[in-house]
Amino acid sequence: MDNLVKIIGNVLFPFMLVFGFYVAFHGHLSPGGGFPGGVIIATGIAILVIGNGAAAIKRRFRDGVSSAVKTVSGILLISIIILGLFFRDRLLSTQVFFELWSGGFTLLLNLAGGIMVAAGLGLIVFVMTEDAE
Amino acid sequence: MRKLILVAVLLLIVSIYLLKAFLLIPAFGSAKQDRVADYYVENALEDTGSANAVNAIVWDYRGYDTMGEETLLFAGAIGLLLVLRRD
Amino acid sequence: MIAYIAAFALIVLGMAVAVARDNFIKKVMGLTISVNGIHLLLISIGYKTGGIAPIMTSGMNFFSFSGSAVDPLPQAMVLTSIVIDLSMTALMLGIVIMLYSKTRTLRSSKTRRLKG
Repeated sequence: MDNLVKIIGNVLFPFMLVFGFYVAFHGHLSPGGGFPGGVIIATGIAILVIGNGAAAIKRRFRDGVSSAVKTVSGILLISIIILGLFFRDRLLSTQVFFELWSGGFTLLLNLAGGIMVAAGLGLIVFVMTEDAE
Repeated sequence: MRKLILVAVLLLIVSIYLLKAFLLIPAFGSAKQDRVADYYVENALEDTGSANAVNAIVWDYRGYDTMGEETLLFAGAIGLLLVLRRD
Repeated sequence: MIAYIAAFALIVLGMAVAVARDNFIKKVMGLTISVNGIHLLLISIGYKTGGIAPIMTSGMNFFSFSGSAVDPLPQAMVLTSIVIDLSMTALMLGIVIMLYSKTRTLRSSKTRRLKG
């Protein structure tokens, strides 16, 4: 039973990562957006933790990586919002409607929001599965 | 047995107030859009360039609310880290 | 019409579970069910009969789109609310974990007294 969950989790994890990034990238063309994409990526990490045990996964990350990712994506989100006040027309004129590189600042904001939600949920999963008494 | 009666009385009181609130909702399927939602649906493509109106509302027209909500998510995770410390 | 009845049932039943059950984790689940009932109520208020999703694809007539798209504002509100509800559930479960490691029981009828 343990080996079965571990093997299936290891096989499924790259597909969930790709699907989560797909949903977060195409937020301006189809339903979804930043938040569901981040949740899908965090669920992939959770399946890895369930199959392999928390200690084995934490050994592969260096200490404090999850908090660092969350801080960086928070700074990225706020800076993109502030930049959007100034450079909006110039970005919008280099884009074509209904393609992938359209949508002005919504594409970048979707990515930043998705990374922030994924890092936050990953941090919650790691904190709750510490092996202690 | 006493707990069952207590729970039933509580639910009765709550559902009476909920029913009084439910009678003020417009009938199912007859929502009249106010002028703000009409403006968002019509002008989302030209102003922002995103074909998804909900995405344009969440990240562009009401972007400050999303920024506050991300702060709240951040604060919740840090609060969890504080509660579960073991040293 | 069924959507309103289902939302009402979810809210009331969720509150009943949160009050009447003894285990702490079941109380947390009851609160989550109640909050999801409120989300269902909010989304089904903005529905138009014969409406389409507010997403525009290429090659669509513009006037028929803007006349028959459902209301996008409650959907944006519920997206924000789902993320906040996630954070609230995580904090509640953290408090349940700390409570278990201090009193060694998960039943709420045995943790009545405040001590310390």
